[in-house]
Amino acid sequence: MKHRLKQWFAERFDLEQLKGPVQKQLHKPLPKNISWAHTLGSMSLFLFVSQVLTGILLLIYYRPTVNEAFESVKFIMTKSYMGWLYRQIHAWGANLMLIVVFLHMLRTFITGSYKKPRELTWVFGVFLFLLTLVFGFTGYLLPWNQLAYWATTVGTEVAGAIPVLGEWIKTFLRGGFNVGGETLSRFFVVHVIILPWVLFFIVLIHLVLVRIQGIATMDPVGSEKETKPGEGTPFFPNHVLKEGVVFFILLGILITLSILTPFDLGEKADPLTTPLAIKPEWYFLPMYQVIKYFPKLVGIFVVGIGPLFLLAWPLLDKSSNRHPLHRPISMTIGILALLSLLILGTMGYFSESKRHFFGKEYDIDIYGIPHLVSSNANRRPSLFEAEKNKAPAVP
Amino acid sequence: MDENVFDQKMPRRSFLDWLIRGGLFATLAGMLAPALAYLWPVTHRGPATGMAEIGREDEIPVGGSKKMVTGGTTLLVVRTAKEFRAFSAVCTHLGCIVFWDSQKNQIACPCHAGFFDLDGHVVAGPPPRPLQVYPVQVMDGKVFVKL
Repeated sequence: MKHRLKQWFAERFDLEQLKGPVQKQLHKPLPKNISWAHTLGSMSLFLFVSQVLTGILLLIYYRPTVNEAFESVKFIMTKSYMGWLYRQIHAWGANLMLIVVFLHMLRTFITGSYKKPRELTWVFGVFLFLLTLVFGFTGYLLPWNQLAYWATTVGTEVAGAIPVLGEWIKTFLRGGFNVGGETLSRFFVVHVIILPWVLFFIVLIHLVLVRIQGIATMDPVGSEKETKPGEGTPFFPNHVLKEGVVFFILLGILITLSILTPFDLGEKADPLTTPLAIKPEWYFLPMYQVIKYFPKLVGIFVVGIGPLFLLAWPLLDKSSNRHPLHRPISMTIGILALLSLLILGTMGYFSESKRHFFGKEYDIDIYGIPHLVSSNANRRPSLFEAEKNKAPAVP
Repeated sequence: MDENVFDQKMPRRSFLDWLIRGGLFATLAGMLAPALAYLWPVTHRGPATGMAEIGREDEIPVGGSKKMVTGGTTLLVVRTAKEFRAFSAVCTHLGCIVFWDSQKNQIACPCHAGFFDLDGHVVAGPPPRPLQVYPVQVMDGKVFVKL
């Protein structure tokens, strides 16, 4: 049967000619420096495929209207078979995808792989990262719950501060003056039709570039040695096996997180009541914190610099060394950027809340600066401590 | 003398090339322009019809408030000891919906601690402009707001 099938195709296509390039790609030797960190790219791809598949499953029951969106997500989570799992994997997958894509970018930065001749691969990669953020922003609104509604209201309002075009962009994004049914339709179309296909084609270009130019070595620009067949690590089976291992670990993490720490659906969106302390998703927290320190316009300018720097980075850094220890300036800039993201994110996370640190109560203001409210003495004992005091002392 | 100067400057073939390129571009542009215009949201509304009824007088106690959406505008109506006051409920900072804090006698925004007084003026916080104030009339126990 297999033989007859093969013969059927052989009579119609030149199979031998097709076999050559496939074999070449499959057994292409990868440079010796290929590591576990080099699986981050395929992890991003795996998460994208997972998002597409779970997304299609969610689309079966999801309805993108103001009256039905929240209820249909509730239906998916409570009535449909395993629907809760698909929604949780989709939500966790989105968060993990941002982390993995970012780490992939970080790895490329540290190993200097963005340098000549791979500048375009980096530029397309930055676009993929930005598109992943837009994916997160548009998908967040779709369950039409309170947090989503108000995060979107504030998020689109920020766009309104852009000079000249701001009001226009805001109205265009919202499909009207307020966040409403028109906004939901727009975000839905962008999230399920436009972005997946745009991302698909950019991923394709990104991968073709990686394949054509090969994986970067740690040799300085201009003195790379091509990995000859028989040298290095074969793509198949060695590297594919590594990717397989990572794939199963990632699948395990996704399902574990989905079961142990599921995302709440919360309350249905109410355009008349803004809940207290509205905050964006964690990946927008650094940006959210930055715009608080500046007047609207300057804030947007400051926030816009980040992506522009990322895109232009291979043009700014033209030194030939790839090894991180031989690039002290690049590494310092990278570490400073990372630290500021972390610090701003943490400040954004804690801002406008009361927290206990080391037994003292702090009121953290809008700018993320903690103010001491009370020391340990007059603090109300926590539930746990009250419980402990009640318990009879064990001799 | 019979030489055609036009032929020398641009051969017939390249002229046709340009014509075809221009035609293709015009066709694409002709299709794209209405599609882009289609994407622009339908924001025009009918003429404002003067007074909008927002409820009965006794619905809102003295010192209380009510929020509602009327004609695409989210309103906050506050009843003081003397009169009714109507405001746009959309905070001028980042578009959150403000509420009436009867204890502090202020209008407050839950997002970034913006506060407004009963004239809509900013008392504290980041809002850049005062809240829009709408005239209110009470007739036969019904409250009307002029939008």
